[in-house]
Formats: sequence, structure tokens, C-alpha cells
Amino acid sequence: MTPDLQALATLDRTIHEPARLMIMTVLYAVNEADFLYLQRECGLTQGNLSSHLSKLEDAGYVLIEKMFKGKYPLTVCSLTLKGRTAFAEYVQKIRVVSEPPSNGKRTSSKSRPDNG
Amino acid sequence: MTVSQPPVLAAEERAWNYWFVDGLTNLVIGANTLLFALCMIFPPRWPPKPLSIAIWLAALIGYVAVGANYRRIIEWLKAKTTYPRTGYVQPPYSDDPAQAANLTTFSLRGNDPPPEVQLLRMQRRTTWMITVALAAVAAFSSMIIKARWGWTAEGVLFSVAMIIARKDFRLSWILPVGFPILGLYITAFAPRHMGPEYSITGMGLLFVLDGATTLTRYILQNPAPKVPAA
Repeated sequence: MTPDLQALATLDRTIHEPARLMIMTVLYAVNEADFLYLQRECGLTQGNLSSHLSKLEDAGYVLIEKMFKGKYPLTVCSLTLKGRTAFAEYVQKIRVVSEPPSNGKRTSSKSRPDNG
Repeated sequence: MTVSQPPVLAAEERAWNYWFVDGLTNLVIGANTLLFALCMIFPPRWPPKPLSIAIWLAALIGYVAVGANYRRIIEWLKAKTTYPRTGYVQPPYSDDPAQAANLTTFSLRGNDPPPEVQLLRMQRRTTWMITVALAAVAAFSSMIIKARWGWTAEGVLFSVAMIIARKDFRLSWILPVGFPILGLYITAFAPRHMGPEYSITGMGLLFVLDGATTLTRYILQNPAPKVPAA
């Protein structure tokens, strides 16, 4: 296997699933969001979102807390430090895969500059 | 499918706009500005009139209380109106110390937000600074220019500030259109010595109108859920 393809094989499967990728993307961009906001943003059903959130919570990527805003109960989700790091690494790997080769030549992932 | 911007950036932008989606921010700003206008309209004079003093004192206390608890009041209103309808999200600019600590630790590890998100935040800050600077110039111009057309100039400057702010802040056209009209009205009809009172009252009314319109539209588009979300 070439090094370029090897990077694809090491993608985090927990994040790679489309619904979970959507959830992680939304949570990465904000500090915290509640269940209803995530449901509307991602267009998922209640059961679907709940099951994906449980998987992300089991992986230690998402923190789920029950809280109140006034008298209104909220199920608030946020990314943990582990989750943020995992998502940043995932995005970095995907970027390397989709980067166009510089000077018309293909370069290996090791020789590419780190775009942070 | 056309992709206009990276999904992280789009999610960040939607979360940012979500704070303004219901018009409550402008409604509270407008109400507070009207309280300030009341303070200006009923200043303590000699000989003291009990009713005038009572109105001035109540308006002053209200103005200070709303100003000091601005965010808490909006959060309270949102908990009643917005969160049950469309959910809750803490905006990315939140100054919650717990969240900030988490993000700071994250930054120390060298995992800053993506460059495009950082650029967006920088642009937003620049827009905000330009808006505030223009609003300050407008406010000072009305103090310095003694001619009546100074109020029209102030209105136009405020309007330009609002047009610039619309780039990053969710505002309707009521404010950019309303300020020059307000300026013209003061120039044409307001008694010379009552210009500041008319100006502040008009501003408050414009913000209240903008907030109320946005809130009405939001409530009509997002009816209250029959079953409260768990």
C-alpha cells in the first residue's frame, strides 16, 4: 500500500460515519449545543441522533449533560478535548488526501507541508 | 451540489447568527434605549415635581438594571421563546470561563480552530469595530455640528454603520432605512433644544421595531412544539 493510501486506512471510523461527521462538525464549530439544535442542523431523527451521540460519547469524543435554562430542560452536548483533537486529526488527513499535487508532480504525504 | 464554504465555517456562522435569529437582542437594546430616553425627557429640575422625579428615577434604575443584566435577560427570554422552538447553542464567542478554559487548553496543544474560522472571526471583529467607530463619529457629529442638518448627517452615518453591521449581524432593513428618516424628521420638525431627546427616543423605537418584526417572523415560522423536548 502506498503511503498516500495508508493515510486513508487510518481514518477514525467513529468520526467517518456521515451522521457522526455532521454532529462532530457542528460541535467543533460551537462550544455546546442542545439535542434539538443538533437535530435541526443535521436533519436526523431523534432516535438516530441519540444513537450516534451515544457512540460518540462511548468513544470519549462527546460530553452529554442535562441542564436547565430557566425552567426549560436541555440535553447539552459538547466536544471533549479528545474529541476536538480527533476531529482536527481527521480533517488533517482528509485534507492531505484531497490536496492537489504541487508543481504538477505527485508528492508523498511525508513530503507535504503541514497546513495545520 | 455547490459547496460555498467549508462545513465547519458554515456551522460556525449559523451558530453566530442564531443568537440574533429571534430579534430579542435588538428588542432589549431598544427597550433599554427608550429607558435612557425617559431619563433625558424627565431630568430632575428645580422646583422638583414628584411625578417627574419618580419617572426619572424609575427609568434610571431600569436602564442600569437592564444594562448590567443584558445577557441574563436575553438568555431568560430565549429560554421561554427560542430554545423550546429551535434549540439551544452557545455562540462561539461565548465568554463563559469554563468554556474558555477548555478552548485555551485546546489552543495550547497547538490545535487552534481552522485558519478559515480564525479569518472569519477576525473579519467579524473588524466589522464590529468599524460599526462602533462610525456610530461614535455619528454621535459626536450631532454634538459638534450645531446646524439642524447635523441630525440628518447623524442619521446617515448611523445608517452606514448599520449597513456595514448587516454583513455579520442579523439586522433587518428597518435600521439602515429608519435612521436617515429619523435624522430628516428631527431636522425638519423637532424643537431645536429637544434634538438629543428625539434622537435617542427614535433610536430606541427603531431597535424595538426591528426586534419585534424579527421576533414575530421567527415565532410564525417556528410554532411552539406541542410536546416539550426532553
